[in-house]
Amino acid sequence: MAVSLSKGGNVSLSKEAPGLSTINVGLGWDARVTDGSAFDLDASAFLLNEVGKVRSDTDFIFYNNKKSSDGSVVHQGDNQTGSGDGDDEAISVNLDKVPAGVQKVAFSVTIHDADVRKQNFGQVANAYIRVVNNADGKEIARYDLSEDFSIETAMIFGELYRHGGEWKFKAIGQGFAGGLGPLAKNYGVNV
Amino acid sequence: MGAVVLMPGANTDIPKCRQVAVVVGWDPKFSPGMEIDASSFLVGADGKVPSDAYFVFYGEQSSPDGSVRFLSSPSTGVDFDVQAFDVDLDKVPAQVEAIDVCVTIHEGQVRRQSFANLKGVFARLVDSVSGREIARFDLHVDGMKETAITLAKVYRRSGQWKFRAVGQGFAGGLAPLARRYGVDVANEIPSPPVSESKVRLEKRLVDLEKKAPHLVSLAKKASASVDKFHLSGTVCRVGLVLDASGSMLRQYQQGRVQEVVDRIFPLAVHFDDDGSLDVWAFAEKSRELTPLTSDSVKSYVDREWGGWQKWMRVLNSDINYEPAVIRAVIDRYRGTFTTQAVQPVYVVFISDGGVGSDKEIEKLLIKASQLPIFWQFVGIGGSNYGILRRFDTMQGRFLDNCNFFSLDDLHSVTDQELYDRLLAEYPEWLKEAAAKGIIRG
Repeated sequence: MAVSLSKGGNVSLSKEAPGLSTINVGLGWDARVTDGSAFDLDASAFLLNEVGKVRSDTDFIFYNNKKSSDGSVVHQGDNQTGSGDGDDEAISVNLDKVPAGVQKVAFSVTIHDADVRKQNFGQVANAYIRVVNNADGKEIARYDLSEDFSIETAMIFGELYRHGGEWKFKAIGQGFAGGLGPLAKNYGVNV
Repeated sequence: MGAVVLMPGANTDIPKCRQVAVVVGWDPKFSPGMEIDASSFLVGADGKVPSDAYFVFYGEQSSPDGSVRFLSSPSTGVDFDVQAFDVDLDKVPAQVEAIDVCVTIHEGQVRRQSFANLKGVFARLVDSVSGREIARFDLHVDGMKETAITLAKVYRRSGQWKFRAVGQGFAGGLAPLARRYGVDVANEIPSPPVSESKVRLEKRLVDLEKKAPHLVSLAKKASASVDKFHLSGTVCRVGLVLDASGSMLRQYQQGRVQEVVDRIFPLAVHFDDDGSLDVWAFAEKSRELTPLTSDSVKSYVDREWGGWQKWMRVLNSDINYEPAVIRAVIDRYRGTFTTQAVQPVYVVFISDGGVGSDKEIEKLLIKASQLPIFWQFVGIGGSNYGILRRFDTMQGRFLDNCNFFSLDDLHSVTDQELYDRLLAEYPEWLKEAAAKGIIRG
């Protein structure tokens, strides 16, 4: 049963679905049916240390760097139009494999070339981001981007974080101006 | 509280009101050679209209449930407001999730126009009762190659009505836009884009396919004749007069009269404002029957007003007295003519000959020649047409408003030929009537 996620709320993944080991962050949207540039949404993940920064640039998982060095976080591929049913992009996280030095994994969604294409989430039909338990495919949390983030072009979805031997997920739901570059820089990536 | 100003993609809640209007406008309001129209689509969860009746625009001004109405001149008093859609939120049927409001440039591609030619286009959401503006969206049109766009949408979400600014569309115009909403628009040629009157016709043909599929091939043949005589896009009221006197008995019994009705109806589909056919039956007396539509065309002759046997009985089939019905037809349409707009009327008059009262009829038709009514007399299965033939050539008329041809048997000509004969004289009359000022507006 999906938990309705309001900004700032947090969900204990271990409590929600005990025995959780692999989760999928899924990003979906409808391909554009009107004329104009395609809607290209990108999911990204950042493996962060105790001060909220990446340990190295390889901790920035995105369409050009699909696997973390330890194999714990894997980006399933870049979908540039949103065509296809279900999640159009996904990042899977094997919680057991996440190394000790990583305290958090942050997830973001951005619109590629949003400024040039003059696009925002509100113009994209049925855009969402969600977290799913890989073992049973059950959705744990979801945000409706088209509806609730309509004038944004990028947003920080949430963070997986360690807390007393458990993994928790904190929904952040914060818009971010400027796109993937500035977002990555924010986490200490050398862009 | 002031109105919310939205940028494309943004949405806002609609506060508790029962009736709102989506008002659209553009700047400049008038551009020479540019025709802009607003339209709306009521769509279900799949983003498509449940049927073509949910495409509300100047050609179909209300949704079937009356929840959305097109207002060609909104009385907001605001200068730039051009057209509007009144929405009664409580009446919107459960299956409709959103009402998309669109603007299109008629023949934009052909005329090499697009929204970039304007300074701006806007949509305002207004509380219909208080007139207060709830939200506003100004679309920046620089560089917009589109000629048809979805400007805004009124939609439901978790029980709350909302308004969203959209501003996306197609360079190809109304046809791809309507198709995206699930309206069945047949596309014979890739360009130029389909004109609104053609879209309306396509909608009616789809309707016909659903309600009276046996008439679809007839409708196609009618289309061929309409095109041949360059009548497509013209509008006129279409009427049909049926002789219900005793001599017609065999024709009714053998289903010939229903066949005639089946063949005339497609002309109404093409030409009539409402797509319906006005029908009269007469013998000694005359009676106007319920207008025939695609819903009632099947077995109309057997079902309308108790069926043809009743027509014959009540109208007294022993006698045929044409002047009564001719007067009735004239009176009926005379009421529709105003000083500004006079739409032509095309009347098909079915008789099997044996017409009496010819002097009286002649006088009526001569007088009627000053009216925009064209009488197409068709003799079927009869004899002694002499008098009917004379209607074609009689002197003293303001202009030639009659034509006659006979068919011993409906089956003696092909349907295509029948349509050709029905329409052959009409264009000439139209021209002359317009030239003489009988038709205007």
